[in-house]
Amino acid sequence: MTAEGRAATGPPQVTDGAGTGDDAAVIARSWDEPDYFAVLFRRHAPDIRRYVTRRLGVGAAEDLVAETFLLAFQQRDRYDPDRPDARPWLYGIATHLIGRHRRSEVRLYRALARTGLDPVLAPFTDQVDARVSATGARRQLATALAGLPAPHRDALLLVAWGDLTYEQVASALGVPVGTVRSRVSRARSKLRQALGSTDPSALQEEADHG
Amino acid sequence: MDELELLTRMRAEVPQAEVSPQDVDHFLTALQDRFVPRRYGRIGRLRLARAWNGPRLSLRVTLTAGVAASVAAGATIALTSGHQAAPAERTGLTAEVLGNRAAAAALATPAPRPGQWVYRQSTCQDFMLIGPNGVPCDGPTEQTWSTPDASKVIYLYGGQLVTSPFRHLPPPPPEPPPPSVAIYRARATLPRDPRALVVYINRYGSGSQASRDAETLSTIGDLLANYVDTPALTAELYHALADIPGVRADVNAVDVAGRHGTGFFLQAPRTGGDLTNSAVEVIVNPRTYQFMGLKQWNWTVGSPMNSKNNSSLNSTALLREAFVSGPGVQP
Repeated sequence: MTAEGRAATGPPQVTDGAGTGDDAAVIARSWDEPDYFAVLFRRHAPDIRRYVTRRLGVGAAEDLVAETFLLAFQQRDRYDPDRPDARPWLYGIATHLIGRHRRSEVRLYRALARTGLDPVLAPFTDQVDARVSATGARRQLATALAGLPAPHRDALLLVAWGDLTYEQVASALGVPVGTVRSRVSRARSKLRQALGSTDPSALQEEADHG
Repeated sequence: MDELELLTRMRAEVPQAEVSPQDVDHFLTALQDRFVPRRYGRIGRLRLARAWNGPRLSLRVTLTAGVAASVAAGATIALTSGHQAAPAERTGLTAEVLGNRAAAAALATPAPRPGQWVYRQSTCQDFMLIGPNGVPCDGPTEQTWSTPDASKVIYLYGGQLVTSPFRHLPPPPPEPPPPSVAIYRARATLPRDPRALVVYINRYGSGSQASRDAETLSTIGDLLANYVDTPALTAELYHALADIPGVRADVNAVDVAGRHGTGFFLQAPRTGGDLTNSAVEVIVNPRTYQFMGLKQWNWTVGSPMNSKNNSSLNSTALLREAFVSGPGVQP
């Protein structure tokens, strides 16, 4: 699946205990009922948390996700009420906060590249052997991710790990969509180059057994 | 499979954790703490507190079911905050899983740059040891600067940097250095397999096998408390902790500074020639899985494990640790 092929995910229309209305309506209502902002938290925190966890590990994710939503609450006067889906806005804040931990993020990629153990996944698995599963392809990928310029990595990972469209990434990062296309394209190119030195059968093996 | 699909697969391996009622509570508390006093005043705070009374009940049922489903699917919910170790209890935290988590945290920790020193703020508790203030070690906070290999240690004592806080005391009788000294010196040639490392350290112990295992746990705790190893070796030490026979995860650990943590706990039963009813615990932060302290104590059978009547033996709690440019430099 290509990035361009990703369908834009519409705003969640939750009508049960997670609140009603689109995100813009929730944010608007939070002006009168500040606690209603928790609806947005419940709705999107799992995805944001997973994105942050993948980038910084489980240890940093909790505080950073909470800070993302606290900043969002503080800045909700800047939210465009014509945008029903708050995910790009929230991912943008989270990505900005991740920027304060660049070295930690790069360290995780380098640890994966060096040892073959994915430090992000270790807390989620009970099996020591399962941790030693990184193929050569994945280690090459980690090396390439560590070497990407931060803006390129942000754009690429918002697409790959945030499930945002190019337009949503542009909104999240506050840059033109053409810039996003360029950054993602360059980032993917570098990743492809890195993987080019990997045995193609390793990629296939990853697909078969992953 | 292209690079984007490979990335997507990496993300998919991170379990999707539901938002728990505790998460919502923490978020609302943080929201109130940061904003309500300034913007809404006391009435606004009360209103915030009241507003969730209605929907929260049904929400709790929904979210609890979600968490249960995640647990059933094998996902470990490790994202709740503070020292609420209940999620770990629910998922049956094992020493092995704890070792994996602590090792992962160690791998993500930076190594010191050349010339850097390690600043530590710690407290100790030992009914026999004399602390830096000349009285039995019972809670004083100590500040030290040491090289990563602990070959040089500088203490802050009486407002001055000194090489030993014990200069005013008679010199202690000569004792053999603890095993951690020899093990650290041999770090380049240590076994790279955690189980082999346990066997290796076990040789330094004495007494019964149970006593040796307790000493092994204590020695590893000593290494974690006093030295800065490479991230890889530190990770291996945590795996080794989990591989010591009989070690279990203790989600209700409390260090000698009174902080809650998660511990690698080992009880050494009374056997001939051994210390009586001793227990050893290496405690890590339940959120970051970084080292918090080493606790060793004797206790009376039948009394609570953390009873103040239990005698603490050479226990320490690391309150702060950071790399600095030299002795006397505060982080």
